[in-house]
Amino acid sequence: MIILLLIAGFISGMTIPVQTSINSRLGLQVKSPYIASAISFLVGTLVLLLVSLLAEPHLASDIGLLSSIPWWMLIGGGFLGVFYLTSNILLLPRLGSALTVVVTLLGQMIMALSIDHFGWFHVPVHELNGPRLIGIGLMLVGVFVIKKY
Amino acid sequence: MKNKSSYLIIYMLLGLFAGMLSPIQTSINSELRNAVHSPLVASLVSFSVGTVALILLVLLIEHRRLFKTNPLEKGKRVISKSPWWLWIGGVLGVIFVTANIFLLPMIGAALTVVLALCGQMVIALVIDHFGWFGVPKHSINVQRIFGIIVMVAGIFLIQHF
Repeated sequence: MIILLLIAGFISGMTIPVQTSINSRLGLQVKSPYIASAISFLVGTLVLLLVSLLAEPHLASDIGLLSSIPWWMLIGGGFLGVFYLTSNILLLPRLGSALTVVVTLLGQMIMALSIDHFGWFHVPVHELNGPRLIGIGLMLVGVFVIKKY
Repeated sequence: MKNKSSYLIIYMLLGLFAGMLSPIQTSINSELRNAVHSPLVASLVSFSVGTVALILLVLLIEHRRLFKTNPLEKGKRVISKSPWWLWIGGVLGVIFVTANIFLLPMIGAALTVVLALCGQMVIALVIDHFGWFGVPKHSINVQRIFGIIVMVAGIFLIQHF
């Protein structure tokens, strides 16, 4: 079971560079990374809507549940995603691709370890320990080596 | 006027901050998924909000460019001379966001982040090696393979401890 989850996580990551390559080509065509991102999100939303209509038999009642949900949960994910995307667009020409990847990644690792350590957002508590820190260190070394050569 | 290196520090801090928001985004989406009982609907809400935010951002930043020339005419021209795959980047984003909403509560935030990262690096090396999507060719080499092996060792440690 765990191996299937690990493979799923790995494959989901494989979509990212393809998406980035496609969106940067789109950005050249429409002459703006922001317009390219908006088109990309719009297409994604329409496809999700279609898939939800087909695959989600209780769609109407699921959407009805949204009215009882705290506001930060409704808009938080979308806004943070756009903030992350826009920051990357702004930083890339100023920091270069290697440095941009390494600093945003470092931020991701720090926050992901904190979420696991404290069990925020109902994630099962998984305390920080020596081997986990070494593991994170190895990840950063791997990224650095790949970006450098 | 500030010198260049102090700007560099500000940019690096912004990058660090943006990176820290990324696992929070996935966690909030996972909470949303529990509330609506469906990863698809959680993804749909997240993407709808993101689309509205980006359209507002485009109107704010690019309004001059957008309305100076006839945007419809221009849009038609871009669509007619572009390959079909130019439009499916967002679909890949949907796969990534939905998969992560599903995985994070089961395998934890750190493992979700590092697995996606490793997948990202492997496919990036392949894209570079073959020069797909018009990126400059960059052949695979021993150092790059060494980098992947080190990353896999890191994943092993994070998963086992």
